[in-house]
Amino acid sequence: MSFAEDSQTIAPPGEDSHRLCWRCRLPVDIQAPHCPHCAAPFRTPPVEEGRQTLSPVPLLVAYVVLLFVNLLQVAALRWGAVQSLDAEQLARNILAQTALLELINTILVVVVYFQTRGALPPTGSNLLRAAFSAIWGVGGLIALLVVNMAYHSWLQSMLGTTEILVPWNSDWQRSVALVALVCVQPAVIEELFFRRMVLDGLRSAMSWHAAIWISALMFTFAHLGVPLSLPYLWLLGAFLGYVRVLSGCLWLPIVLHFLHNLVVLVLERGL
Amino acid sequence: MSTTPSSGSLGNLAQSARSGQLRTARVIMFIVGGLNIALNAFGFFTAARIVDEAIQVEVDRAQQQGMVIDPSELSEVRTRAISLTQVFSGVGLAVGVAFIVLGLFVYQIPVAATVTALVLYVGMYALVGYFDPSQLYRGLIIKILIVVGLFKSIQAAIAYRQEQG
Repeated sequence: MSFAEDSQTIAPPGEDSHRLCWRCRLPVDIQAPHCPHCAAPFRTPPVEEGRQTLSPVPLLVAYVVLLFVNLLQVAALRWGAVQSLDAEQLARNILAQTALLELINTILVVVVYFQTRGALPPTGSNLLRAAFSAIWGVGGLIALLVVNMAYHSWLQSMLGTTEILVPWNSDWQRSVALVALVCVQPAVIEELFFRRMVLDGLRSAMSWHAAIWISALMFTFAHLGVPLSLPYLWLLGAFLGYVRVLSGCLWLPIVLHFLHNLVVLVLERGL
Repeated sequence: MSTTPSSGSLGNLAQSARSGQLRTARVIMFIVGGLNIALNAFGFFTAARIVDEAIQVEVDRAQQQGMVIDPSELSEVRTRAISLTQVFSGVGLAVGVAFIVLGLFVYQIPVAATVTALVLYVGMYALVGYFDPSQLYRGLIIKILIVVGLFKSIQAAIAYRQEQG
């Protein structure tokens, strides 16, 4: 199945002054407000030559599959918690299951990326813009971390803590595994999916503010394992979306996401 | 061109089909939103009774096993459980209102409204499944039909938006 279906293909090369009518599929002058053949109106800009527009529908299908995998992950973690006899075995189980399901997530996202790559718009960033965005991005990240701490201490005072944490200071191998599973994989894979594919897919069909907040909502529900943190995660997703759009690059949200998760990991488990 | 009239009629037929699909999306959003509001409003206002019933079952079970219940701890657990139930019912209420608002704006912002509705519906379904896995199987066919309906609505909304330009 092509991930660029429902696309508005452009006129053949050499006829770049024309595009195809969305209704009758006949070539129409690019500046024409109406199709001369069927009178269909045009207000949307023509599609860039050599590229197809990306439909959000296949991305949403991939997202539903990702949610299902996340549900499986939650079920596996619960099963692991029940089956474990002691804290050490529980920690090993959690790490092994998380690694397996993150591998499934990674494969799924990489497959979808290679399917959609041709239809994705170029990132179009420059170094100065990215550097400027990095400055306010780090400031915003610090502010968000303060909000995160305040929100979770309020939650803890209201409800008490229920989350199972894997201690990371028992040996260096476990620490490396935790950093890889909690900081590196989510930063790269989630940013690639939500901030590159989903955000750019949605931006072709709606305003960028709407695309950012909807992609952030999708990012939120992808974190079912921490249900009480969902309101905060919506804010974090929107922040990373704005960083992505305003900086124009993907590496900056990846770095900020990595730093965010690393700080949370250290704060939760202690140095 | 001789095909112009027939192309135009086909275009009008397609347009009315898309409009009908958006109307269906609006109906789905109103029904899902209305049900969410009704059920969560009930949960919110009867939270104390729901929690008391659940606690009573646990207390009876514990007493049958010869355990002694600490009243002060029980009271603390009860307060927390009521707060938690009201927080979740409040979130459910807000989601219900969001569905109604999305339904109202489905012709003004068709793609954003339908995509948000699908993400909210699937996300809430997964979230409820997280807390109570048995909910994943209940009414599965209706849930699948709603998801399929919302997917079709998104496709119709994309085409509708292109028509509007």
